[in-house]
Formats: sequence, structure tokens, C-alpha cells
Amino acid sequence: MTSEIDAEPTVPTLEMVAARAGVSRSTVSRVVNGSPSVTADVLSAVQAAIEELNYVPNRAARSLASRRTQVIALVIPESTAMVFGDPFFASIVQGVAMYLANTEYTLNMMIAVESRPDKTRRYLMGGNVDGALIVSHHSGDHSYAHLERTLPVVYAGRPLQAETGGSSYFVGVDDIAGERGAIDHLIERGRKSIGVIAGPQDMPPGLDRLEGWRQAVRRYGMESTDLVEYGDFTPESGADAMRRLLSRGVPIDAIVAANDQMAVGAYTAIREHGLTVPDDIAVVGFDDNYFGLTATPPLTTVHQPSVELGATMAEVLVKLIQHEPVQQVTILPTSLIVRQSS
Amino acid sequence: MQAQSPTLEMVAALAGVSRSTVSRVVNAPATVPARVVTSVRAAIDELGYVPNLAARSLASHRSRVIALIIPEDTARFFADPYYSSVIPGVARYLSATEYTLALVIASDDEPDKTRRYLLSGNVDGALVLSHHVDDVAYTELARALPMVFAGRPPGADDPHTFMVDIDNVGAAELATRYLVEHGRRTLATISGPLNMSSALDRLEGWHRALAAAALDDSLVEHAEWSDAAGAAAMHRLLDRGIRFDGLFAASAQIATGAMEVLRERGLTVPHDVAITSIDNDHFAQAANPPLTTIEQPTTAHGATIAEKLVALIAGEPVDHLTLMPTTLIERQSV
Repeated sequence: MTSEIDAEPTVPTLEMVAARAGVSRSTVSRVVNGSPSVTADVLSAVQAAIEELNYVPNRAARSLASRRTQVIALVIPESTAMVFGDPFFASIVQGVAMYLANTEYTLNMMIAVESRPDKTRRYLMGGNVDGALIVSHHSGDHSYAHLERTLPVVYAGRPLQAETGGSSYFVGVDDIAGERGAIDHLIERGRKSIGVIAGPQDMPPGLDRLEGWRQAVRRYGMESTDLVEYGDFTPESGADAMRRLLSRGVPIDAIVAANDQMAVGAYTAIREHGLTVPDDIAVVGFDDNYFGLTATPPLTTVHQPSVELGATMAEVLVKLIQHEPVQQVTILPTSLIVRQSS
Repeated sequence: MQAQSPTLEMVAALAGVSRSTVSRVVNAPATVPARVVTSVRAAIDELGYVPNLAARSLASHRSRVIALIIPEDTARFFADPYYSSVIPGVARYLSATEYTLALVIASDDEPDKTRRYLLSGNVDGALVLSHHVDDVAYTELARALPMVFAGRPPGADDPHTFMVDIDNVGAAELATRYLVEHGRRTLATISGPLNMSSALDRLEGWHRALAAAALDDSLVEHAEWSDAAGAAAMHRLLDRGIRFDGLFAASAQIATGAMEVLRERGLTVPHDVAITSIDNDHFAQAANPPLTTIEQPTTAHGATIAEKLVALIAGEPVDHLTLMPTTLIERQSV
């Protein structure tokens, strides 16, 4: 069976409202756009007609007058596989959606890798949205850096200074302090030779968590200062990095990994070497998600409040759009969740 | 941080033409001499000018945005493997077109907010995944906005409702008959929630297969689309005290929960109970033993709904219903 959409839309039009209220098109338009030059009688007649007909003003017409779309974009410049595979994104989206549910804003999520960054950029700059939230692990992608010149933008995590000149709005956690806290805990538990599985070095969580480890190594005067291997935040890359560390033949009694997935991957490599967690090697992750929670043994980790992070980003952006005073940088606290891997 | 972006006026000044000429080049270049188009486009490129959508869509009535509606319960959205395989199909198809894909988070508390968004010129069309959701609210919008549904929404008989689905009755019939053909004689089923057409159709397929084989079809339990609900339904089935040797589960996720309970209660799969299901997702593949199941081509499903919507927006004739093929995957659960 084949059919087409009716040529005549059944949506109520401005003209229908005008006819119902017995006023001109331009009077209805003035009411819709909140013009003060309308008498109270006319205002209530037009509003009654709008309600009766269930009329929705066309956004193109309205936003030409008010320059507002009431749409907020959440841009994730990652692949769909990454977005669905890493619980960090799910938590952020949940937080953003929770906050916006009680506002006038509609949330548009854009997974920008498959959708072609140039089209996404055009969309964002073309007057479709009032502001954008940008959430990525990666800072290697520069396509969104200059958006801030035309649009209120809030980042998850510190964007790299080189891209933004340090004037960006962001909400993040103190990755350096979080990682230092993990190592304080391991030292308290008597561990002496602590290695690190760091994340990619083109993004602040990768850089800052490694810096936290470096600061702790110096502070405690640990002997091995080069027990560093890198992964890409996936469990497989954590296992590979751990294999490389173990193959060095240097004693290691603890590992901090830059996220839970890599920490759980490290378990696999530790077991392959006939070693146990935590007796031979203690492991601490970062994030606090179901990978760590369901691991055997359950993973000690640095909790980052991802849902709250999403909600706070949305709050900062809404305030920016509405020209309310707001802090440029918001840092949320991390906390250490001690389970059985340390 | 406010607007330093190049304006229409700046383009006009650089190209040495009027504002309205720039506007015509953006919206209807065929009405402008080629020489002027070239010089205006050069100015647009030089300044990095992006035409404002509000102005452009007033002229052309097009936003070049396609919305894909996703549920506000984002935990469910991220946990259901259906979404993670449909969305890449949609995204890949649209990446080669002029359309931008926006995943629009529906507001449960304020359905009017989402309705307003969809109907007020923000989007040229919308995709709704009705696979696991009861979307009564959206079917009526299809009269005012080009929409395509994945799965069969309520009100699907309306000729304005365009759908891409699988033959749920046929798939369930096949999966059930497979159990009968492998010697199972007392069969049970755990269906999906009966407010959803896919669940109703799968239950119908189960009844048809058993009627054809002249076997009893009274062992029926219902569950939401989750492993936890599948587990609870299996407890209820076993608590009836009737032995059965075959189970058709309406989804792989439901089957996974049911298998856990069989194991807890000392029954083995497939020796004591053989199982078939629908969906070849990670639940089906990671089950112990791996599930014999009906595969639906979910990524192709995504590409097909996108293709159909683009055709619909362009005013091309489009089939009311497109059925995607399914495949039986034989593994160790039978």
C-alpha cells in the first residue's frame, strides 16, 4: 500500500487563530512574541483562541523575533560504539536530561562522529539551538573549539587551553587530587611499588590522572618512577598495558588505572601471570561504574559524580543563556570507594 | 562571548551586492545570475558565514534536521542493545544526505514540550523507535509531520503511519515450531508486555505453531523486556508445578533471565528445557549455553527507517509498511 502525507496540514495556523479571535495576523504575531503593545482584551481573546485550537507558534517565525529556540544541544564527538560502551556517557546524559526536564528546554543529543562534524557544526551555528554542552574524552578534535564565539558552550571537564584560550566554561572533577588520593590509600595499605595505566595523553582526564600519580611518586619518594603504560580506556587496552608492565620484570605491588574498564582489563593480565588481586597486586580504578562494581574482586575506585556532573553542566548552560551570573569553572569533589581489590 | 559570527550584511558588503541578493543566493540560487552567485559564494567562504536557520527556513520551510525520539529513561536507553545497533544505521544513512540527526530526549512529564518542539519547525521529520515503547502520543503527530516508526505503534492502521518492522508473528511461529521439530512436546512461553504490538504478535505466533501441531498452549507468562522480569516469570512458570521441556522467550534478554532461574532450580538447558527466542544481541550470544534465536537486522532497520523518512519528506511515494527479513540462528540452547 502506498500513500502520501496530505497536502493540507491539519496543524492549526496563525491565520486560523486570527480568524477565531477576530483580529489580524499581525496582532496574533505580536501576542505570540510577547509584544507589550497589545490591549488586555485582545490578549485574552487571542490566548483563548490559541488554546482552543491548540496552536503551536512556528519556531522560525518566533525565533526571528525573540532569537530563542529553547533547544539545548548535547554534543558527543565520539562513535556510537563508544557512547554506548562507556557508562560515563550514559550517566552524563541522565544528569543533563534530569535537570532539563523541569525547564522549558528540549534536549538534542548529537553523536557527532557518524553524523559528520561539519554538518553538526553547521547545525549548531545555524540558529537551531540556544547553547551547547560538549562531552568528550577527546580533545584532539578541534571542530568545536570556536563555537564559543557564537554560542554559549559548557564543557564536561577542562578543555585543553590551546584550543580555547582558557576562557571556556566547564564543569569537571579534580582528576589530579582524585588520583593522589588513590595512591595515599595504597601507601596506607603498605604498597611500595605503584605503577600506573594512564589514559590517552590528548585529553585532560588522561593527562591529569597521570599527573596525580607523578606528584604522589615524588611526594612518597618511590623508587620506580617510570612504571607507566598507556591505554585507550577500553578493558583490552588495560590488559595489554598491564602485560607490558609485568614483562618488565620490575616488582609491582599496586596499580592505579585511569578508569574502571582498564583496571578490570588489568585483572586479566595479572591472572595470566599466576598472580592474584589484591594479595600480589592491588588495583584501583577511576570513575566508579558497573565494570568495577561487578568485577571479581569488586574494584576499589575513585568515584566521579557523573550524573551530578551532567546536571551541573546543564544548570551552568541555562544560566549562561539567560545571562545570569555563573562561575566559569565548577569543580565537583571525587571520593574514594574502597572495595576488595586493595 | 556573544555573536562575533559573520552576518548577512558583512557578506553583502564584501561581495558588493544587496542583502536581498545574498539571501537569494542562499535560498534560491537559480534566480540569480551565475556570476553573482560565484562572487557571493566566494564572500561566504571567505568570511565563514553560516546562514541563520531561522531566516532560511522562513524562506524555504526546511530545517534539514531529522529527530530521532529517545525515551527520557536514559538508563533504559543506554542498556537496551536495540538502540545501540539501530542508531548507527540511521546515522550512517543520514551522513550521506543533507540532514543532521538530532536525538531528541522525550520529556515524560511534559509530553507537550516534545510535541511543541516537533511541530514548530525545528525538524523536517521524526523517527520513533517503537520496538520497546508504547508511543500512543506520537502516532497522532504523524498527520502533521513526516514520521517513520521502527516497529508497529498503536494506531498503525492509519495510512499516515509509516513503519519498518519484522514479521513478529512469523518469527515467533518459526521459533516455536523449531522446538516442536526437535521433539519438544510440552511448551511454555514468556511473552513481552501485552500493551505492545510486538509482544502480542509474538504470542500469536506461538499459539499458531502449537495449534498447527495440536499441542497444549496454556503455559503462558508475561514479562517486561528485561532479564530480571524474565527471571520472575520463570519462577511463576515453575511454581505452577507442571513439567515442560521447551520454552519460547519473546526476547533474548527475557530468555537470559529465565535461564538463570532454571539453573538455580537444578534444571539444565537444553537437556531439561530447550529454549528459543527473538533477537541476536549480546544477551543471546553471551547466554550459557548460547541461544538459538531469530535475528532481526537491527542496523539495516535503522538505515531503512532513515531512508523511508527522507523519501517521505521529499514527497516521494512510500510504502505504508516495510518488512525486514529475519534469520534463524541455531546455537546450543535446543
